[in-house]
Amino acid sequence: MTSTRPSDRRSTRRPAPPARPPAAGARRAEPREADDVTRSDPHHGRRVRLGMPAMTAWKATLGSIVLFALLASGSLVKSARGQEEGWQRDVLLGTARGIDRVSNLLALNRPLDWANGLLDREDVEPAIEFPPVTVAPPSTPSTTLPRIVSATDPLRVGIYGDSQAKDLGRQLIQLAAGDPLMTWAEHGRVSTGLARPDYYNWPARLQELLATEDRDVIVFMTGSNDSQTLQDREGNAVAAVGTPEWEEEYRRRVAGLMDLVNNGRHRLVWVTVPLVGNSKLAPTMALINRIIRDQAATRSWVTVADAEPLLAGPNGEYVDYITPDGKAPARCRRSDHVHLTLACLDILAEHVLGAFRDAFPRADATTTTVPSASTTAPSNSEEADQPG
Amino acid sequence: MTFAVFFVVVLGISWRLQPRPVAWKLFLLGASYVFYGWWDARFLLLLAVSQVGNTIGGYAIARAPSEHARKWAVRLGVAGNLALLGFFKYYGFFVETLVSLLRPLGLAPTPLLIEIALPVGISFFTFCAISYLVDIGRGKVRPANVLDVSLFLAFFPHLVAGPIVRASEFLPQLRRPARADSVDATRAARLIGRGLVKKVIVANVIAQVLADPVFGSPGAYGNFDILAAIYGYAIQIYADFSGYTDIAIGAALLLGIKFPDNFDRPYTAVSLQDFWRRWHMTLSRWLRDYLYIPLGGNRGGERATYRNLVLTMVLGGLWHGASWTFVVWGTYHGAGLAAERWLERRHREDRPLTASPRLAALREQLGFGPPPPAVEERADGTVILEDPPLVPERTPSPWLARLWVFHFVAIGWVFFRSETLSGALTLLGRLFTAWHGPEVTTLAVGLAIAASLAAQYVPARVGLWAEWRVSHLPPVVQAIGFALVLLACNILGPQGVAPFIYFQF
Repeated sequence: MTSTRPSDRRSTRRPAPPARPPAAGARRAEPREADDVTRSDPHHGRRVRLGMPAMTAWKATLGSIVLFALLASGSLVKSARGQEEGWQRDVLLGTARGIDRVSNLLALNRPLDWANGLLDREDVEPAIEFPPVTVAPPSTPSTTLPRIVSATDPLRVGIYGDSQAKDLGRQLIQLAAGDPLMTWAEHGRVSTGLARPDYYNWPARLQELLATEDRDVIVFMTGSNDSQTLQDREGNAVAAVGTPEWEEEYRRRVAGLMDLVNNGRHRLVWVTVPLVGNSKLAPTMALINRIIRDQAATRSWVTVADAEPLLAGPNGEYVDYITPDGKAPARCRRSDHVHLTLACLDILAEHVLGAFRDAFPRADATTTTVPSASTTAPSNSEEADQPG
Repeated sequence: MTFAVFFVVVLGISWRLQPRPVAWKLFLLGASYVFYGWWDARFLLLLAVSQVGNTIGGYAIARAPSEHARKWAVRLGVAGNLALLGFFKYYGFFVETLVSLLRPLGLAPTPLLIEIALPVGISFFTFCAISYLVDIGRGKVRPANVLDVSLFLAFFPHLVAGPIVRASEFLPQLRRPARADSVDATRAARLIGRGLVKKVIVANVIAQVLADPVFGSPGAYGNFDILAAIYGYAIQIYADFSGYTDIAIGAALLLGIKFPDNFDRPYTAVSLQDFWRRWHMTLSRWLRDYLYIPLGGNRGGERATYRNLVLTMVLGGLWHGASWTFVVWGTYHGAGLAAERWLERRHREDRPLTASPRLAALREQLGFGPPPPAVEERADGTVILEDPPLVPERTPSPWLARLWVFHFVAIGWVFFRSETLSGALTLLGRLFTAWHGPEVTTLAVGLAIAASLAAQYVPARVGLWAEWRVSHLPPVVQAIGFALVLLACNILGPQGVAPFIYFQF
């Protein structure tokens, strides 16, 4: 990068003519951002910003970006991993990994690692071993009777998953607002799913959350971002979308995640993916939903909240608008034809809430149906939850 | 990072090609197409149609044989642009309203209910195109060739979210390119760095921690969080949009193109009119010059002025989105501006509101009337009533005015941000009824909001002085400083940066 002495460089602008004196009684105007100092503020004399030759500006811009890339190489790799599949991602990821190697060699990424450590962030996703899947999963978890929820020991619900889960979580919280017998925690993360544990490893994250947050009910929703090649934690391709291997591997991941929750203390409510208005994605979404239903059918601690038929047209097809019983037609999908509008989130939230609320007897016994299945004993957790 | 790589490549090649104008413009146009296509390649054709159509429209207006024909050519061109915008942006809104109106009669045209994808930036490039045609009609701009018009409409720094540049500002810079030996790189770096800090740190932190949860579940939070979220969103939308604008202006400046300012510390405004002179300035002046003045402006008397103000702001609200929440937001600001003007007029005519006979009567009815006249009974039995002494009208403190304007604007943002009117009303209702302490408001977010508000009062000369000082440092030092700003954004910004708010408009 070249550097010139200030005296060698030309000014950005020619000196402006002297400013017209202000009218009597008028306040001196504050200089506007776009003005240069000479023109707008004669009291500061000839303070003129110095410009630089275009090629010097280009080299400075390039240099600053290269330096930033070296200093933040870990974030760069993670960001490249998060890109959609394709040659652009391959190029970006290859470049980012190259920069990361150089940065490692020169220890330039240490300050960022240190800062991330202080902020409790990680650039590398944690690893996880799924519990072994039995050929025939147990039909019921072998634990205690469903506990009675009360104002002093409310039902603790956690909502986890992708952006759809975030939206659903907010609507659930809204719907149950004022119910003192429920507390909520939402840990959605946009652009995530089960396909890319190199970008966000949901099973590992869920395991952490289960350990740190004592939840009775886990509402889980992902899948919208999973119509892509399945990868492992290191970012290596495992199975291409549309192949039997993809289906097998995705089934293994769904089953693994369901079994993670099978500790006799949690009820898992898995929300299927609503139909999407994109013919390229739609077959994979349908397959994902089928896998979820199949796997849940053999696991009694899992309840499926089936968004697919709930938010479909009269013949089970994708529609932009739905007509709830006796109501006006309501727009159901946002302009991306994937995410749900508030009207449809309302309907889905009602459905999801209905999938677990009555499974837990209430101390006031007003809306209780005691099921035969069982879950957990009361907990003494005192975390600061979202009030219901 | 992808944009950074794209930009560095474009920057280097652009300056290399600048001595050859046609190649330079073709390259910038190609780069703009790549940029737009990266978002959504489906609408490149739409952009091209707009560019060619407006070029032809420009020539047709300029060569119209008579004044009458010229006016009709302008109207046709504007209508064409509005039709394009209307179809993509307002089709759903129009059909939904139609269905809800006709449904009770059993005539609801439900088959028309289909979702039309909104092309990114259509509101911005359509407004640029309209200003181009109208300015040719007014004789302020000469028609340009298809390459210049195409680059004017599609130049990537302003394509997706403004600022709304005018042809008279942009086209001369294509004819007389900037000097390659003196690029205002320090200012550009400051603008880009400041924009990134605003967007990545301020806007995203407030959005993720406070504004998104509260506005997403308006019935779930207490009034402390709601109040904090209202203040927070006022800062978030400013940091988000002005952050984008800063980056756009800075990027264009590095390429040798100057854009007009779009924000000037809007929360220091002492009146609503002042606010609109400081907020989204390029939209405000567009609305003034191409809507308010053609509607009659203030030329038709006071009532017509109020009507024009409200109408302009309602349409300005609708420009932001096809939803009743934006209509209410626009009406709210229009009514506010009209009321402010009315009060100012009364004050100018020495008839302040406090002197209104109706108000005085109302105050009396409510028991808040003026103090009773002093009664003096003289020895001869006559009774003398003396009026209470007149209290001189006091000019309100500018700080009180700022406080009032900020709160008026912040309440308006509730309608702007909420997805539905009922959500906005729920939020505002709970502000006064749901007494509850903080649940999601953290000290860090509170400090971020307070610091961002305080930053509005830092005099512009401080930034200019800093630019002057930094511009005297060697370029290598400036580059290192800029890299450290990027690193700070990476460390302090939350993971998972949301898209810019104004991209959806």
